[in-house]
Amino acid sequence: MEILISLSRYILPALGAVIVFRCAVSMLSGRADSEVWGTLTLPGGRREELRNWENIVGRSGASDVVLDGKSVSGTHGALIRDAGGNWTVHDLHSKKGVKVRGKAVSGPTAIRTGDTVTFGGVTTVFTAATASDQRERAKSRRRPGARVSPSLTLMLLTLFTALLGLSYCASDWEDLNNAVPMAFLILIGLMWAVYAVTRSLRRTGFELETLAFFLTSVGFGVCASSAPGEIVKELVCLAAGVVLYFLIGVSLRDLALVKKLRFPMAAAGLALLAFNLLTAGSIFGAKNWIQIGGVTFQPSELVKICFVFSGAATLDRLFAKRNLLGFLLFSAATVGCLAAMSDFGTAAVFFVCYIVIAFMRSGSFATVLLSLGGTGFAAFIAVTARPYILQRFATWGHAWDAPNAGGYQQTRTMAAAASGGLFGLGAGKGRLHYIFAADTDMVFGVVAEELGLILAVLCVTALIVVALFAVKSAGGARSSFYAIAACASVTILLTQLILNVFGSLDILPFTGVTFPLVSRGGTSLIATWGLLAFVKAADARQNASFAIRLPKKEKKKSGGEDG
Amino acid sequence: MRKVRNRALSVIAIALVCAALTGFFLFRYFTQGDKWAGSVYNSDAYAGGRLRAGTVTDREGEVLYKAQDGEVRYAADELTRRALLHVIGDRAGNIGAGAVLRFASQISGYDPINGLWTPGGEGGTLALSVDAGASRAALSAMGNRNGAVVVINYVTGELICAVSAPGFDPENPPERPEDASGVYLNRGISATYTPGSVFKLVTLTAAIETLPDLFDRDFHCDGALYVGGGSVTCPDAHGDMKIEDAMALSCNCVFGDLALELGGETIRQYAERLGLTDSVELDGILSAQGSFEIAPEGSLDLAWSGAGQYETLVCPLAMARLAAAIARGGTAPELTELKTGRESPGTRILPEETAERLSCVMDYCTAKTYGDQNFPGLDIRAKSGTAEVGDSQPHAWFVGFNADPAAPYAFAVILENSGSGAAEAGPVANAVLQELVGGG
Repeated sequence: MEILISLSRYILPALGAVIVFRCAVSMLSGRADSEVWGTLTLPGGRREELRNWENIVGRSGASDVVLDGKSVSGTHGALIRDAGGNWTVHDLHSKKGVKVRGKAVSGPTAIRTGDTVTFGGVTTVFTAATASDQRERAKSRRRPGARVSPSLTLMLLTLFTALLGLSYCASDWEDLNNAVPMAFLILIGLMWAVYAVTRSLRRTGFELETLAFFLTSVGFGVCASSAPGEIVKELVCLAAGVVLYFLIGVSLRDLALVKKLRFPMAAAGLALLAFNLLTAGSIFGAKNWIQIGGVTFQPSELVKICFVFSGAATLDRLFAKRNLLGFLLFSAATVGCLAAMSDFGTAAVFFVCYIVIAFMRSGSFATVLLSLGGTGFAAFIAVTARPYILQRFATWGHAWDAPNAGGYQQTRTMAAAASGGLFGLGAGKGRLHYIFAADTDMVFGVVAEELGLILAVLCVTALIVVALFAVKSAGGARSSFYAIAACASVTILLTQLILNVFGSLDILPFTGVTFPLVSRGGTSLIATWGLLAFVKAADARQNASFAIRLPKKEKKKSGGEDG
Repeated sequence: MRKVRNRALSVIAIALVCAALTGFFLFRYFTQGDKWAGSVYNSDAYAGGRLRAGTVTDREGEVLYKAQDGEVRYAADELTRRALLHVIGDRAGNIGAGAVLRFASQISGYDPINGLWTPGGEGGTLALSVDAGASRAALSAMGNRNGAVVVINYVTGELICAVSAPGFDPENPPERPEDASGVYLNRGISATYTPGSVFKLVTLTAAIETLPDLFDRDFHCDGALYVGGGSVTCPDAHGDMKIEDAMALSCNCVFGDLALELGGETIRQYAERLGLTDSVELDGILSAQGSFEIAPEGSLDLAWSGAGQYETLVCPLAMARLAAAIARGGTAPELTELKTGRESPGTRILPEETAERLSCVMDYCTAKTYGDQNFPGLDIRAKSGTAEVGDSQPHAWFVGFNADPAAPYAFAVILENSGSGAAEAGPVANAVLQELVGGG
C-alpha cells in the first residue's frame, strides 16, 4: 500500500495523460458524418443534402446549399426545420425573391416534400427525410465509443480518482476527516451513475463527462488538501451541478422551448445581478457574494448560464434586422453590474464571451469592433478606474519586485509550481494552500505543487480539448442556437481558465476568477456543469448526446436493434 | 450552418492563446524555476527563513551546514564555523552573499523534473569549492586581526578560501544586530581597501607596456622625490637600481616618478584593464567595485597614486584574480564558489609576454625581499603592500601565487591596521598554502 502511494506521484500523471488522450482522440479525430434531414434537388438532377435544421441557400461558397446563377443572392434564403419536423423557407432579404410552388412569398412559408422552391431564377425540388430515412441514416453513422471504449476510459478515471483519494487520505491519516474518503467514494459512485443513466438512454458519448469528472476529481483533491471540512459542501454542489446538467441538457432537446426561454433567462440573469448588487456586502474587494442562511453564494456564476441562453440564437433570428441590439444592451447591463461589484475578472469573462457571440451571430468584424468600442470601453473604464485594480496592473509582470505587496500571490504560486516539479511533492504535501484563497485563485499552483506540473497542464489541456470539441460539434449542430451556445460556453470556461492560471503566474493581471471545476467553490461547480450541457447539446454524433433526440423508434415490434 | 461553423473558429483562437501562454509558462518554468524554488518566499524550501532540508559541504565533502526538517546545524567545531561563516551564511539570513541564500535551490535539491522532491526529504547536497582546512588555517593565522584571506585555484577559477574577520559563531550569533557592525560583510569580496604597494603591479604593468626601455633603465632613490611642494618618500634611500630592485624594495620614489611619466590616464586604463576598478562576478553576485582617481598632471597626488596611495581602492578578490591572471600567462579565470574541477578558459587581460615579465619580477621580489625560506616547498611569486591609512597602523597586504602547476593557488591577504605587508600578511599566506599543499 505504501509503495502504491509513493508511486502515485508517477501513476497519477500517467493515468491522467491516458484519460485526456483517450477522450481527445474520441472527441476530435475523424470527420463528422452528419445527420441528413432532407434534400434539395437542383436543376440537372443534382441532390444536395440538408444536414442541419437550419440551412442557408445562396451563391456564396459559405452557404450550405450553393446555387449558381446571377439571379441568386450570396445569402438568398434559408430552409428551416422545427423540432416537430415542419419545414419553412425564409427569404433572407434576397434581390430576386423566393417562390414556393411558383408563387412569390415574403414571410416564412411552410413547405413539404415535392414542393418546388425557386431562389431567384433557380428552381429546386424539396424533399424532407422520412422517419425511416432517418433510421437508415442513423444505422450507417459512426457512433462514439466504437473505437475508444468509454467504459474503459471511465475505469481508468475510477482508478485515478481512487488513487488520488487514497493519497490524500494517507497524507493525513492521523487526523483524517472521514468526509474525505466518503466524498471520493461518492464521487466515483456519481460518475458511474451518470454513465448508467447515459447508457440507459442508449447514448454512448461520455467523453465530455469523463473530462469534467477528471477535473472535478482534481478539484476534490485540492479541497481535501486545503479545506477537508468543506468537501461535503463541494459534493452537494457537484450533485446539484450534475442535476442541472441533465435538466438543461434535456430542455435543450426542445428548440421551441429554448426559443421561449431566451427572454425569461435574460430577465432572470439581470434580476440575479440586481439582487446581488443590492444585498451584497463587500468581501475581499469584490461584492460578488451573497449569503443566504449561512451559505455563501455567487450569483454571477449562474448568470453565465442565463447569458449563454439569451446570447445564442436560431438562424432565423441571425438575419433579422438589428438582431444584436437587444443582446448588446443585455450584455452592457451585465458587464456594468459586475463592474459595479468590482468583479473585474468575471466582467472580463462575460466581455470575451460577448465578443464571441456577437461575432458568431453577425459574422462581421465591424459589428464586433463597434460594440467592443461601445460596451467594452465604457465598462472597462468603469472597472479600471478603481484604484485597487490599477494597483494590480502596476504589479503585473513585476511580481518579484513586490513579493510582499501586489506580487504576493503570484510569487508564491510560481514558487510552489517550481517546488512540485513535474510529478509533485505528493498529495497533501504542499504548503501553498495555507495562503488565503489559494484553492480558488492560485489553484494551478496548488495542483502543480502537490500533484505536479504534468497533471496541472493536463487540467488545462482537458479544457482545451472540450473547447475544440465544441468547435468541431458546431458544424454538425442541428441549430445555430446549439452551435453558438456551445461556443459561448467554452469561451467562458477557457477565458476563466486563462485569467485564473496565467493571472496567478504573473503572465496576465491577477484577477481572481476560478479555474472551472478545479477551483474550490460550490456555485462555480454548479454553473460549470450547467454550461457543459450546452456543449453536450451541440454534439450531433449518432447516439452521442442525451441532449439530442433520437429518431423515433419504429412502431412495429422489432428485436431490439439498440441492444 | 456552414457560416456559423466558420465563425466558430474564433473559439480556436482563444484555445490557441491558452496553448501559447502555457508554452510561455513552461519556457519560464524551465529557465527560471530554480530561482522560484529557491526564493525565500517559497515555504516549501524555507521554514521561518531557514532552509527546510539540504547539506552544504566543502570541496572534500566535509559537512559545513545541514538542514533537516527546518532544523539547521553547522559544523561541530567553532573554528570551522567561524572560518566559513561568510561563505555559508548565518541562520537569520543577514549575510546576503552566503551560499545558503544564493544557492538555496541546489541545496534544497531542486531540479526541473522533481522540483524540491527528494527521496526521504533529505534535500540536496551542494559541494562548495572552498577548502575547510585552508579556511581554518587562514582564520587561525589571522589571529585576532581583522581583514580577509582570498585564495583562488587559478587553473579552475574555484574559490578555495574566502575567510573574513571580524565574524561570529553562527551557533551563537550577536543578539543585537546593531552591535554587530561589519560582521556580516565578507571583506574579501564585498569590501575595498587602499592597496598601497600591491598597486605597483599595475603601475609596473603600465610601464612595461608603455616604456620599451624600462628594463634597461637605471633608477636612483635619495629617499624622497620632491613634487609640487611636497615629497614622495621611502623609508630609506635605496640608491642606484634596476626596475626589478625598485619592485623588490618597493621604492616609492621610482614608482612615483614612473606615475608622473606615464600620466594618470594611462594608469587608470591599466587599473581598469586588470579588473581592479570594476566588480568581479562570482556566480551571479558582484564583488565590491574598486576605484582609481586621476590626480592632476605633475602633482604630488599623481606620484603617490603610482605607489597605490592617494584615493585608490581595490577589492581583495580582484587582486587575487589579477595574481591568478599573471600566474596563467595573462588570462583571468572565471571565478566560482562551486566545486567544478574544470579548467576555466579565462579572459585575456594581459599579453602573455607582460604576464611573464611580471611573474619574473614577483619571483625576484620573493627571492630578494620576502625570502624563499619563508615559503618552504612552494614557489611563491608575490608583492607585498603596506598601505598607509591616516593615523592608524597601515594595512598589511600580500598578493601573489604559487608557480607550481600541481598546487595552482593565487592569493590576496589583507590584514587591517597590522603593519608591514611582508612581515604580517606573508606568513598568513604561507600558512594557508602549506595547509593546501600538505593536505594534498
